[in-house]
Amino acid sequence: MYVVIWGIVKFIVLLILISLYVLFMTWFDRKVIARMQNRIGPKLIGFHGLWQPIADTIKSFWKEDVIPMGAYRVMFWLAPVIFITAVFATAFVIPFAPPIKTSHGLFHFSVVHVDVAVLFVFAFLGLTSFGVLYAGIASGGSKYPYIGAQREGAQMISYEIVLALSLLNPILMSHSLSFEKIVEAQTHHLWFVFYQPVAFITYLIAMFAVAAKVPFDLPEAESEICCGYFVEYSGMKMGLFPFGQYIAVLVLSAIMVIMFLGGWTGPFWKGCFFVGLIWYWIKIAFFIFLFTWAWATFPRYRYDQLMDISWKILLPIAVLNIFWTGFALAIGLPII
Amino acid sequence: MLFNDFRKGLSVTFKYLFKKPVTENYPYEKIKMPQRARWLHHFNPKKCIMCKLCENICPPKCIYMTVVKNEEGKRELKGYDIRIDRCIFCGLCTEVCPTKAITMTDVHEFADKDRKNFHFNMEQLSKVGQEEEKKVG
Amino acid sequence: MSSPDIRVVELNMGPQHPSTHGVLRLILRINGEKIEHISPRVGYLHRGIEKLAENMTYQQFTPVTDRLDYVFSMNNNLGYAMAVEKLLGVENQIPERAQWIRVVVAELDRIANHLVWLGTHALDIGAMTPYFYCLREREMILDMFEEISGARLLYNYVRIGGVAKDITPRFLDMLKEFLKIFPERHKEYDTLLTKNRIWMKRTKDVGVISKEEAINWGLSGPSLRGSGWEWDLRKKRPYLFYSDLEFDVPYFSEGDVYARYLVRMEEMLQSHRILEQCMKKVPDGPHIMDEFKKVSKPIKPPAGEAYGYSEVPTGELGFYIVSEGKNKPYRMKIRAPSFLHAYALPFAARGYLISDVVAIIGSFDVVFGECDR
Repeated sequence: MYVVIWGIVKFIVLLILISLYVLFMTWFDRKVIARMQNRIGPKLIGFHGLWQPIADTIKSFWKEDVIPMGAYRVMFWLAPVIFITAVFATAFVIPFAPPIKTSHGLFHFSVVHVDVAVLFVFAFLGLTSFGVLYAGIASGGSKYPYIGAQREGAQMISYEIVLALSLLNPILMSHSLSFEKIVEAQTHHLWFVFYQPVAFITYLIAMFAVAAKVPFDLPEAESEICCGYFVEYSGMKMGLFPFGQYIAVLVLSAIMVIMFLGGWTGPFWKGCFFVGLIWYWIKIAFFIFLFTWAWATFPRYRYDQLMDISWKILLPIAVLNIFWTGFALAIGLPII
Repeated sequence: MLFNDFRKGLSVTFKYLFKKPVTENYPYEKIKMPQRARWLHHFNPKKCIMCKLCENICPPKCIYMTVVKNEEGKRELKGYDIRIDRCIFCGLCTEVCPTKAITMTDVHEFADKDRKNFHFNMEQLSKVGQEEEKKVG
Repeated sequence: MSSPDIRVVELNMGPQHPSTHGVLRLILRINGEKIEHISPRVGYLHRGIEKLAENMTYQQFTPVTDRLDYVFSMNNNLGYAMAVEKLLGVENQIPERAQWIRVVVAELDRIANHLVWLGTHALDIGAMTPYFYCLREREMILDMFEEISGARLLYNYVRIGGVAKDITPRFLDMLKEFLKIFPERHKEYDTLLTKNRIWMKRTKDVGVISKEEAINWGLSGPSLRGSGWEWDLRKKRPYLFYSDLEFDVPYFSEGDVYARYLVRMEEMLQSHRILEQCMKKVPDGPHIMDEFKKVSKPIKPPAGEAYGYSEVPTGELGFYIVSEGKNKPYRMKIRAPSFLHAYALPFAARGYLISDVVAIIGSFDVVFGECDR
C-alpha cells in the first residue's frame, strides 16, 4: 500500500518535472544554438526569453487541427499517443537521484523500481518507433511521411542492436541489470569507461541515432523531406513528437552516465546524497549539451551511409568487444 | 580514426559561445542608412518644371503627372502621383530630374494593410521625411 | 499491357520545398530511396523579361536586368552594359576609373554570391551553422554596396558607359576592413566543412558529370570547372582589365559535388586576391563617359547585332541584342546559365538517392530568376 501511494505521488511529480524539463530544453536549445551561430536566441518574451516555451505551448494549443482527407483518422490520432506513452515509460525507470536509506528500506527516486531496468528501457524504446511508423502510414497518401517513417523504422532497428550490445559490457562486468547495482559496482573499481572505451564510443554514436539527432536525424530531415513523418501534423499533436525526442535525449544521457561514468559517484562523494545529486546532474547536463553542440556543427548522413555504419562497422566492433569482455572475465583478469 | 575533423569543427562552434552576437537591435535602435539610400520619394512641387522626364524614364510607369494650363496660359502642375506598389525603387527618376525636385529619402517603414494607401499624391509626397516614425515595433 | 510497377512511387518535389532554391518543380519516380527518373519543370518565375526589353529604351532596361539573377545583380548589369557598348562601338573608350570600379564591384559580388551558395548548400545537407557565418560576411558586402549605390540587393549601378555614381572614401575604408578579415573567416568555413568526413561522404562521387558530358550539355562556370575544363571567360576571352591581373583559375577533374564545392571555395580566395591587387592603385578620372552621363538622353545604336558576355558566378551570362537603329532594341536574347544547368540535373542525378538530389541541386547553384527570366 505504501509503495502504491508513493508510486502515484512520484508519478505525478515526475510527470510535471519532466514536462517542465522539456519546456526548459527548448529554450536552452534555441539559445545555445543561437550563440553558436553568433546571434541572440529568443529575447523579448520574459527575461532573456524564458517565457518563450510557454508562449509556444499556448500557440500550439490554439492552432487549427488539420487532418488530411485521406488519413486514417484513428491511427492518425493514436500515433503521437503511442509515441509519447512509450517515451514516458522509459523515463519512469530512470533514477533521478541517488537512493536514500530509510526505515522501510531503500527509497528510490524513480517512479517504479525494477530490477531489470535496462531491459525495460530497451523494450519501450523499440515501441517508440511504432508510434512513428503509425504516423507515417496514417498520413494518407502523402509520400513524404511515408519515406520518413520508412527511414525511422530501419534506423531504429539497426541502432538499437548496437546500443544493446554495447550496454552488455557493463552488465557483464557488474553482474546485474539494475541501475543502482551498476553504480554500486563502479564504486569498487574505477568507472567503467576506463575498462570499456570501445563500448563507450559505440554507445555514444548509437545514442545519436536512437534519439534521431544530427548527424543521424534522417527521419526528420528538414531540408530534404520537409520534416518527414510529422509533416501532416499540426498543433499539439505535432508538438508531441519533439517533446518525446527531448525526453529520449534525457533518458539516453542518463543511461550513459549510469553505465559508463559512475552515475552519482565522483570525487568527494562519500555516500552523501547532495554531492551525488550534483555530480549526477552535471554529467547528464554535459551530454545533453553535447547533443545540441553536435546539432550546430555537423551535416547529416545519407540513408545508406547510416546503414553502412551500423551494420558494417559498429556491429562487428560491438560483438568483438563482447567476446573480449567475456574472455577477460572468464580467465579472471585482475580489475584494478 | 582520431576524429580530428570533428574535434576541429566542434571547437569552431564552441568558441562562438563566448563572442558577442552581431544582431542589430532593430526596432529599438534605428538603422543608420548611408546618404544615397533609395527609399520613399520626397517631392517638392515648387522646384518642378514639369519637363516630364521622370514620367518617361520610369520603367514600370508608376509616375502620373497632370499638367494643365491655368487662366494666364501658363502650365501648372495639378497632380503628381506615384504608385508606390508598382515602384521598383531604381532611382532613375531622381537621376534625370534637372532641378532635383524629386529625391529619395531613407524612410523605409511605410508598410500598410490596404493597397489603395500606396497611391501617394503630391501632398503626401511633399511631407515625406518630416513626420516622426509612426510605426514602431 | 503490363501492370504498373507498384514499387515505384511518384514524388513531387514541388515548387515550394525547403531546398529547391526557388521555384523548381521536380517530379521524381523513386523505388524505395533510389531515383529512377526525374523530370524538371521550370517556368514558375517567368516574367517576360525578353519581351519587356522590346518596349523599353536601353537605359530604362538596366534596372530590369538586376532582377535576372537577384543574388548578384552587379554582374548582370555589367553583361548588359558591355553588350550595348559593343553595339555602339565604344567598348574601348570606357574611362579607367569606371573600369576599376566595375572590376571591384564584380569581384565583390562574386564573393557575395558564393557566400549565399555556401550557406544554403550546407543547410540543405544538414549543417546549420555555416549559413549564419556566411550571411554575416555578406552583410558587410551589402553595406558596402549600399554605400555606393543606395540599395542592398538590386543595385542598378553599372550603367552603359561606366557606373552610375562615383565611389566614396568610406567605401574604400570598408573595403580595406573587409579584405583584412575575410581570409580567417574563410578558414572557418573550411574547418567546419571541407575535411569533415560526413561532408565528404555526402558530396564525393555524387552527381558525377564527365568531361564530355559537361561540354555537351553547355555547362559553364564552376560547374564546368569542376569537371576538368579550365575555362574561365576572364582568362580566355578577357574583358575589362582582367588580362592585367594575376589570379588562378581553380579546376578539378572529378566532376562530383565535392569538386564543384572546392572550385567555388577557391574562387572566393582568388577574388580576394584580385581585390587586393586592385586596392594597390586607384585610378583617377571620370566614372562614366560624358555622352552617357544623362540617363534621359536617348541612345540610338546603329543597326546590327552584338553579344555581350561576362563571367558571372554561376557561369557565362550572355546578352544578344539585335538593333534596328531605333532607341529600343528589336530583340534581346539572354543566355542564362541556370537554364542549362537545370536541365542537366536529371542526367546528373539519375540512379542516386533522394538525399543526393538535394546536394546536386545545390552544387549547380541554380537561381530561378535567371532560369525563367
